[in-house]
Amino acid sequence: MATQILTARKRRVFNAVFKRPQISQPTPVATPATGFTAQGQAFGELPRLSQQARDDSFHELIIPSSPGLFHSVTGDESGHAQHQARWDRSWHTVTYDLALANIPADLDPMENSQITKILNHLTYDPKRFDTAYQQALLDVLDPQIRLPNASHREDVVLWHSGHVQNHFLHQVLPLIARITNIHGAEMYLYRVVRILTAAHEIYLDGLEHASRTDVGPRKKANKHPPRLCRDLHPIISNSLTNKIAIPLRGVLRNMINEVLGLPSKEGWHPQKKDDPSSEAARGELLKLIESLQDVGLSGESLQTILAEVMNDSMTLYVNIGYTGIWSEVSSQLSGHKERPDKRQPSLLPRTAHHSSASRCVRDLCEWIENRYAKLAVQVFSVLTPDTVGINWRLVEKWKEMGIARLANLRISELFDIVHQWPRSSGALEDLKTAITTPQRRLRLTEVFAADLSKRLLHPGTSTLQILQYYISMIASFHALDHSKVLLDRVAHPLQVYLYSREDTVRVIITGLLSDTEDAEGNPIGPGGDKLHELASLLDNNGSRQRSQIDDDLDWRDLDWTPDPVDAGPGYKRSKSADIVGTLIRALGTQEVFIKEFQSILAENLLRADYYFYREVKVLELLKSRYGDAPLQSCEVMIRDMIDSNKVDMIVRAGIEGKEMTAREAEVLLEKVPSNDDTDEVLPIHAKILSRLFWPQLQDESYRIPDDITQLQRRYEVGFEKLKASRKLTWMHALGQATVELDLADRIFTEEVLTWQATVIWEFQSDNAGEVGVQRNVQEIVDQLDMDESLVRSALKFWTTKIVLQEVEKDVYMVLERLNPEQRAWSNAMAAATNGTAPAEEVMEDTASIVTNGITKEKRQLYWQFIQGMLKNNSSQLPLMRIGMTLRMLLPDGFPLSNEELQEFLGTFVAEGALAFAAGKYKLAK
Amino acid sequence: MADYAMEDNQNSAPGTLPAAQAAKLGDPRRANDAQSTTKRLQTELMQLMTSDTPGISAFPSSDGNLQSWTATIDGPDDTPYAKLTFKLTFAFPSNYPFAPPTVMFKTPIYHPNVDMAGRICLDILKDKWTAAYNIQTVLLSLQSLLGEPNNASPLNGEAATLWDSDMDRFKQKVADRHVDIEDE
Repeated sequence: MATQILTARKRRVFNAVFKRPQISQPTPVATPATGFTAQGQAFGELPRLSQQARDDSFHELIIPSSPGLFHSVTGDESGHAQHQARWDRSWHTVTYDLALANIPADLDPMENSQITKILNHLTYDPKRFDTAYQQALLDVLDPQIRLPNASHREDVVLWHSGHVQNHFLHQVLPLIARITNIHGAEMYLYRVVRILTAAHEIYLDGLEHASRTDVGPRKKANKHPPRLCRDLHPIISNSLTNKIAIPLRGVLRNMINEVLGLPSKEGWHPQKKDDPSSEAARGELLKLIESLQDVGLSGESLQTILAEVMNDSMTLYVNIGYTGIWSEVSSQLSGHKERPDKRQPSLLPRTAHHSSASRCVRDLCEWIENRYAKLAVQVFSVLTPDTVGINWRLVEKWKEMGIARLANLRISELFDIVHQWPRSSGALEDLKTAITTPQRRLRLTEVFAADLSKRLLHPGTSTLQILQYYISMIASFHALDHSKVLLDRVAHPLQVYLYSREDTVRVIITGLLSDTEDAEGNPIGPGGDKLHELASLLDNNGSRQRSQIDDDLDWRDLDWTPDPVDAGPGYKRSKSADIVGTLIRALGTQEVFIKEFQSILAENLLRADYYFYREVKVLELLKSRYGDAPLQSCEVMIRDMIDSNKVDMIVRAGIEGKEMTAREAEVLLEKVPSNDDTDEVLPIHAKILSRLFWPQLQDESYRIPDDITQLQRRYEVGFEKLKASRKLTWMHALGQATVELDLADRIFTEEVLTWQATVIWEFQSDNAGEVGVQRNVQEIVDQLDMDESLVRSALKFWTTKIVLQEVEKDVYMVLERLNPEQRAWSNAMAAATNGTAPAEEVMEDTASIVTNGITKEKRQLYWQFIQGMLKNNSSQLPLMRIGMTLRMLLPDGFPLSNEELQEFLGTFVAEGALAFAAGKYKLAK
Repeated sequence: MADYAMEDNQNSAPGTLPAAQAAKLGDPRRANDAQSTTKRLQTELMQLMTSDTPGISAFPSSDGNLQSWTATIDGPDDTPYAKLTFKLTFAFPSNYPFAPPTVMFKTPIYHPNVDMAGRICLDILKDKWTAAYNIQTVLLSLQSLLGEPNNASPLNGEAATLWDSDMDRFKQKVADRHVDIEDE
């Protein structure tokens, strides 16, 4: 206490020397020169009421009885003097009492304990406003009536407002400036608002005090605070808005997020109804806004911040709430399925009424209506109390905005949504509800096309993956938009890209021809190395689709809709998704497709004796698309297969000395569908192909074992007896042989390819006693006159079967006896043979041999072309140019991809014929 | 009898086609000109590629236009051009092979029958051209022209004179003129 007095004294001394000019003087500027009261005269008198005052409508409010302070004025001159003196005195009283104390500079607004002290400095001592003050105030406020003769008068309101502004700028503002948001934005805002509120209160308090007494003219006094506010609020908002905008935004965002049930850091539990915590937050928020409004911070900037925060909160809600929620199924979990249908329409904005709302859209609309709009209405009513509620159309607008945000989200997710199809049908429904305008549809296709080229159409993805994606794309876009306009727009780059992949057609056809069920009859799911999806699609709706007629003039079609507005020229309506059809139509021309189909068909037909239902089915599909004529040779190929069974039977019967007619053969075939080789006179069957109709088959020529040659001779004779004008040409490499190996400790039986059989034949021991026959690779090559790569491949095959063993480099030996370890492996292998793995392995082997075989002949040709271009065009060329030129100029096309070409060129580099430097190839000198 | 009459009808006036039919046949031929030229050039390319003729080689220009080719001739031994390589350009007219290609030396060459711009004076490329010639034969002719110039109708008079009078200077001139051109 003593220190306080000391400080006060010190300050007084200081102030006496350095007068602070900014504190306005509580006494009037003018001092009355005349009219001092005469000796003995009473000091002051009740003013005589003028006529004007009497007519004043407020005359009843004038103090009815003299409180003894006032005495009547005797004359005009003395009245003037007295009035002036009283005015001066009243002025003094009022200004002295209203003068605001300085806030001690040593108080720290960051300390909670000192905040209260600060706030104490910001309140008037209620004892100040005694009756004397009130009288004085009334005098000063209403000098015309009460002191009409005082000539020097000033507007106390004006003075007060100036004083208040001064105080604010020099006392309160520096104080607020010292507040930092070290304890978080909320604390900061809380302190600022508290100080501001206190200051604001004291500013208004001074003059308002008069209104609180029942002595003053209430209405007149009431007029002042708005004027003060008008002067003060701009100052407050100008000086503070920018400073508090950022913390305010943060605090508002937190509160609004809480109120709206938005996810916080702790995770999110979507709640459709308000819970207590959000209610509490709502109260707090409204209080904050109210206090901001009170101190004059509810200007445009607050509204802007509010609008921005609300806007962001909607985006946030959509993004966090609905990202990755694509499935339809989970709607049952959320418990909203049982919502009565009749309520739904009211939740949706009018623009979305026509389509059935998806779950997310419904949820979103509900949220907007129940929580978002509710909060908005409350905030509005605080900010602008005059308006009653808000326009209903605003809510409608908000819902549309929400749906648009949802659409944006879904569009950005669309790539993954398509990938997840059909598990993401819910998301597609959302999109369907949302993409109602051509602009949005355009945006959807643009974004999707960009995603597509970025994420799918690059060398890293296999053609199979692209095709699988394309299939889900066709299906999901069909679900999205039956008109196919969207699909057409996005599919084009995909199709163009697929054209550039050499294996596209092959993958499609293999997919069509693949099995839908594995060996145990379980359906094969998507994935794997073949497009099984296509085969199952073909199974499921191949026939149904053809019966559908895409006719524009179907008058009985009640679901008819006009063409979409953004349909391009040449748009053709089609209702079915028709994935198979779209793929075939879009990818590859008829010739390419048929050629590829033919070669795969040939491969499949030759591979085994089985029923080719699937091949026939695909053939029918292609026929329905391209007509019979182009597919004639495929038809002949299948026919060949059927016929050769018959011919085979007759020929064999003929050799055995029996006569058999074609009719008998057919009957016999139906009875015994599969041939049993074991105890037959002629252990050889032939498939007779009509050479002209089959694609070029890759055959390896080698010397086949004499025993087989003899069998072939006999067969030929029989055949030529049957068909006199025909001649058989054997294709050695393309058959199967059943091999039975009589080894020392086991008998090995397996159906293998003929060239594999031929190689193992070489290991046959000439004399029975010899064990562990050894052959080296070169011997076999010379013996059989067979391609070395083929020999090696066969040796590898037999090694994996544990029949041969590589004892030293290039020397193989028959494993007559197995050690236990090998035996275990052998058993495992035998068990696994039921699966598909070994068969495929062999297929791969053959495939590589075939490509090698092809390139062996063509290698020279390609090399000539490469030499030609390097010699004549440009002495050094990059890989791309070489590939391009080869593809352009080779009449049969160039089968290698750029990567394969690189490998191909690499062999020449290794041979020293080419040199590779700086990304370009050149001929070695 | 009826059958015979029909047959007669169909075979009447052999060799003279009705006007409409002739037009029908004529039109596609004209339209197919470019196509048949391309086909012919493709065949020639395959032929060149499969038959490896030493000393000559030719290939379509890199832009994929089959009507313009680049060829390379190695100078024959025992001629002033031995161990030199010459590049030529072939421009095929759209009615090739019924008109000769325009052949020019791209590599500067000092030769009695070739002018400074690379134009060549060779009868089979002018009036003696027949459709039986092809790129390979043209190149072979040009290769032999290097060893046996036709000095009776020179485009480069100086070269023709020197060939006959001063072989050493001729060789010097050939070496001076020759520049190995790189790329396009």
